[in-house]
Amino acid sequence: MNDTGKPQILLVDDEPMITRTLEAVLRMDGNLECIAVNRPAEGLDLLKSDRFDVILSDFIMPELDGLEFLRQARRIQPEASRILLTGYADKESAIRSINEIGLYQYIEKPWDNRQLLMILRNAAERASLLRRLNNSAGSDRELRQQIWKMLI
Amino acid sequence: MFEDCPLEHFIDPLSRLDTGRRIVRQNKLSVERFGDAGNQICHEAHFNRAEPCEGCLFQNVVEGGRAERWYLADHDVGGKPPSYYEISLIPIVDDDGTVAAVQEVIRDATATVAVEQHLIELSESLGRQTHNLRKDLAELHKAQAALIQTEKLASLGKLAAGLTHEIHTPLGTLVANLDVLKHEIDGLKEELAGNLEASVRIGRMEDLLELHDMATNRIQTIIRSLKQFAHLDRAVMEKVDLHEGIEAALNLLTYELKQRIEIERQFGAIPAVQCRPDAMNQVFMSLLQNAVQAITGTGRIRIATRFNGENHVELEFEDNGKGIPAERLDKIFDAGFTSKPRGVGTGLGLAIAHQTITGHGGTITARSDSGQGTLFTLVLPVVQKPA
Repeated sequence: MNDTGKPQILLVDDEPMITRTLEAVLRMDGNLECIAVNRPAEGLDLLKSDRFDVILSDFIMPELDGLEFLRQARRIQPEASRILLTGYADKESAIRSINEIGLYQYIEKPWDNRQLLMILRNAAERASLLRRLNNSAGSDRELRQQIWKMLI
Repeated sequence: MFEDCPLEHFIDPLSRLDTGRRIVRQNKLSVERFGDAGNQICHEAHFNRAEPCEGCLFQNVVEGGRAERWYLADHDVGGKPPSYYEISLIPIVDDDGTVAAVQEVIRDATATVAVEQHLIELSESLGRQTHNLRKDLAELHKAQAALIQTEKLASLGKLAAGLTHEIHTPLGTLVANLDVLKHEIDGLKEELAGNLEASVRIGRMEDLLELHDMATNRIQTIIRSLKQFAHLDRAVMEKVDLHEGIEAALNLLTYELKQRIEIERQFGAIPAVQCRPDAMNQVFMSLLQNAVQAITGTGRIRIATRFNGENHVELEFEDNGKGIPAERLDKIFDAGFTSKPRGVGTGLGLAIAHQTITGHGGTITARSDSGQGTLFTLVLPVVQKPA
């Protein structure tokens, strides 16, 4: 969470049509802050400088596909919840990828706004819990590490 | 006969008979072959029979005065294969034209008949081989058609996958933005409460939004049907609700059905059926397309499903279109057979349907009365037998 106390969402889609739409949807909700980029490389740069609670990425992008982007994002900010937004119809490979890179959720286009917002809020909640767990002083370190492993 | 008569040394046994079938003279070979048979009746002496041989034409020769020839099978030799004789009877005519005697020639034709029989067997075996080859050729045609269809299904799948992916981006935008627009309009309504002119305009905008909502829903349904139809993520055997596949095919045919054709659904409670959904949907599509094309003007298509309570479901696709002439009905499942103009039909649809259904251990049959419509009946096992 940033200074405003609202969860921070990073939106990545090569289509400005989608990122602008998602920005409008999040604005409508009013409780989520977001930054949208159309190039995955920009997203990775942002992840190095700013803290995000949720990363929502498109699947098929020309420079770097969503799975690879989220894999790299996990290395930079492991506690951020990762969500794949895809119009791709191949469920099998999607499920495989969820298992491979520990996705928090997989959302198909066209999505339902209410469902999307709920998923984003829960994803942000999860990230914030993870951070609190990580920062809490005095608790059992080993237990903390176990919970951490379970959640990521 | 006399020693100087050339017939005395003829290559076949010769006997002269009187008109009462009694042997009056024999040549040398006849004596060697049948013994001295003077005064004996021919069938007794030659073939050891009490009655004239079957097919004997002796009486014809005596009465008609014309030579005759026929074949006789002699089974009398115990256990051995039958011997065959070519028997010729030549009338010996008096000066006054009456038949006085009959000259008989008995030629052993066993070898000739054996050759003939061998020829007949060869010809029959050739016939069988030709028949089998024709059957193999037909199977090959079907296999070829299936291959083409598999290719077509695969490319349809790829096309549908690409299409759905491409459409999902703008569609996602439309669906999501409509929501946001409604939200914004609700905000405006509150802010402009009491402003009559503004609320009229807002009312019109809401009407339009409702239309947009319907339109995007329609697009979503079509894309979902396309996905469902091509079964992008399932090309293997699995248990599926056949009604879903039928509905997907119907959705894709909406344009052709329009207000022209009424669909009558008589869906029973059927269990999920183990099958290849992509191939099965192709069958539904073929049958429905044929039904649509059979109906000129307005008409009706009836689709019925039922469960026999054991291991089979029965599906019926019936149209009230122009029907199939009786002489064509047994050809409709042949690959390459089509009654449609070039470009309309490939002649593969029903051949593939037949192969798909039989491949699933089911049956597909057609009944049609010209001018009265056509009924296709499919029977499918619910569970596939393990291969």
